[in-house]
Amino acid sequence: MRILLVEDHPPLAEAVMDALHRAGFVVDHARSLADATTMTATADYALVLLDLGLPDGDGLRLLPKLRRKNKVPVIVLTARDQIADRLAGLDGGADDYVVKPVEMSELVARCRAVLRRPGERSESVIEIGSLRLDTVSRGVTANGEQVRLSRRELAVLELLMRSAGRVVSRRLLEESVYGFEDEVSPNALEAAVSRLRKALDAVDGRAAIVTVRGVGWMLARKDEA
Amino acid sequence: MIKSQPTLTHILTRRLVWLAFGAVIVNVLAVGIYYGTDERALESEVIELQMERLSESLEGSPPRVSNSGRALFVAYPDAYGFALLDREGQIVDIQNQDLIPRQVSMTDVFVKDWVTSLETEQGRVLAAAHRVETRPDQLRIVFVMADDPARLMWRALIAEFVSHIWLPVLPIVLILIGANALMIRQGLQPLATAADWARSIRPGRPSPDLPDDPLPAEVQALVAATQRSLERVNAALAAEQRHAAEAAHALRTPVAVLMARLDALPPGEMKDRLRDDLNALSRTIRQVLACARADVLDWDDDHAIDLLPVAERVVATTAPLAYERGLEICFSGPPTPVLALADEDAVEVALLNLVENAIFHGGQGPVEVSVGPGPEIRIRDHGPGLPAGGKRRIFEPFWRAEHAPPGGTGLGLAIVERLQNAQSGAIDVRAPDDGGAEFILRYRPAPAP
Repeated sequence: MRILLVEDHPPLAEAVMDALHRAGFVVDHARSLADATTMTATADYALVLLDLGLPDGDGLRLLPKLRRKNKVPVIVLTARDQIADRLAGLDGGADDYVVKPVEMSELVARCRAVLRRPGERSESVIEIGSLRLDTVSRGVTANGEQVRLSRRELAVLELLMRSAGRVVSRRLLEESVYGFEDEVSPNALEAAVSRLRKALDAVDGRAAIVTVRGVGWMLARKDEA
Repeated sequence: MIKSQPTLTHILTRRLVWLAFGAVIVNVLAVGIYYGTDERALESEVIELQMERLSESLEGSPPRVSNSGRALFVAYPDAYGFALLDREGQIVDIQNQDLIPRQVSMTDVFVKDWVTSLETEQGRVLAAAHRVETRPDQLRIVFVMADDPARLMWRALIAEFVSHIWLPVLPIVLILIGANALMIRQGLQPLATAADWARSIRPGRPSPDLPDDPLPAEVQALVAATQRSLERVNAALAAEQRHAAEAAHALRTPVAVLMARLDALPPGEMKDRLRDDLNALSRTIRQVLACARADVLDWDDDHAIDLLPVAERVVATTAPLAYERGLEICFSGPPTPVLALADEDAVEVALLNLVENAIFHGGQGPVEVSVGPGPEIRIRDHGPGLPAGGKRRIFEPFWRAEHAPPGGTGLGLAIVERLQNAQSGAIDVRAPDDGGAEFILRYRPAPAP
């Protein structure tokens, strides 16, 4: 997994690169828009981490080029936290928008989540705690033990694992788990999540499904709590 | 509380009334002094009045003075007397003959009017004659005054006052006061307009549009001066806020560096503590930034937003933090949008502050965030509740409860209040009966489309 970090602040670039190295990524560093443009043209990156305030211009200007050329996923990493900035970043084609300062564990998780997205350079296996989901064979194991899940439960689990540590809204789950033709009874999703939770509890996958009433669900590692 | 002062119109009108009053007094004094020092003038006034009265009460042929005209002379036989003389100087009618000096009839027939003061054995006697112009028979009236028990002199003086002061001065004074009051009121109207304009000034905002009607030069100068100082204050305010924002912003990168470096430390208690410290520092920076932005909220007065997605987003964002601290957080709202006139960033920052507060100070119970049905967001926790007597103090900047957990800045609620004020909203807090605290963010409702 080769990542390009576009960041003009040397100590921050160095520290973030270290952290990403430890998480198992290979990281290249660009200090300016010009550097980043050359590097993305010559090398093939799985992900670009993009700072916005660069010495030779706004990082947002790089977004359309990256999206047009080789559909590299982009996470904007910036100190700008206004909603308008976030919208500009996401509307401009960024896959995620992270406001500095950010904990490295969260940044790594977000990088993984973006890399796992279907249609992008997905990994075929997602691991959270001792829980392991193979997106190709559609098999789930916990501590190496097979977990038997229905198609829908599996779909819910996949989505939760892809954004582990963050809340997945009920609307998003409904939209991705059920097709447009499906007749969705109001409690179908609750029932699926409940069955999934039971199955996970039974095997102690060191991951828990947390209900955020009124919003959605979140997959959290138990050791974090 | 400023004691309410009388209006300028009131003050000017009152002064005008005093001025008019003064003018009347001066006039009275002037007339009084004039006649008081010049007895002659007053005597001729008395004579003129009596001649007029007598000639008006003539009747019959040969002419006689009527009983009503005679009354004064009958009442005071030792003081006043009159005689009517025909062309030849013969007496036609006479009253109190003893008073009238004989010389009267000897006076030249051709002298039309005369006044004289005679020294007789009774003392000084005032005598006057007058030929009645309106009569063809050239009748002359002789009037004599030896004393003044009926106070004719006083009456003449009062008559002078009436004819020289009340009649000519008073109506003019009244008209002037009325007209001036009206003119003052109208003349001060531009000031009222300028005051309205000044009232619409809001801190940190560009100065409002001037009234359409052109203002008089003086008011224009005041408005222009106000506008200039407002611009200077705004510039200074903006610079100060920019500095605060820049400082906070500049702090973000070093904190980000620290957070990234922290990752290199081996797991352990020290790492966890440092991580908590850094997160607290990061929150402080965010709050200082929010504080700097609160006063210069760049939001559109007419912009309606839906509170539901903002609140849902904040709950989703803070859910991992709540989970880490073993707390449940939940959200509820109506199925239809809850529209409010507010700024999305400001709502988010305010709600984020309150929810983080609830997570840090909210004890064990769930943190409940609910929207609606009106344009309001409620944040309910089940913690220790409000500090005794702290219901108002909690909104003061840097105020912290005595046993508050470390890491807070004491800025959160002050920021929320400022944000709410900037949006013409409100923040309320109440202590529910079953413990904990409930904060309510209120916003202005969006007008019906």
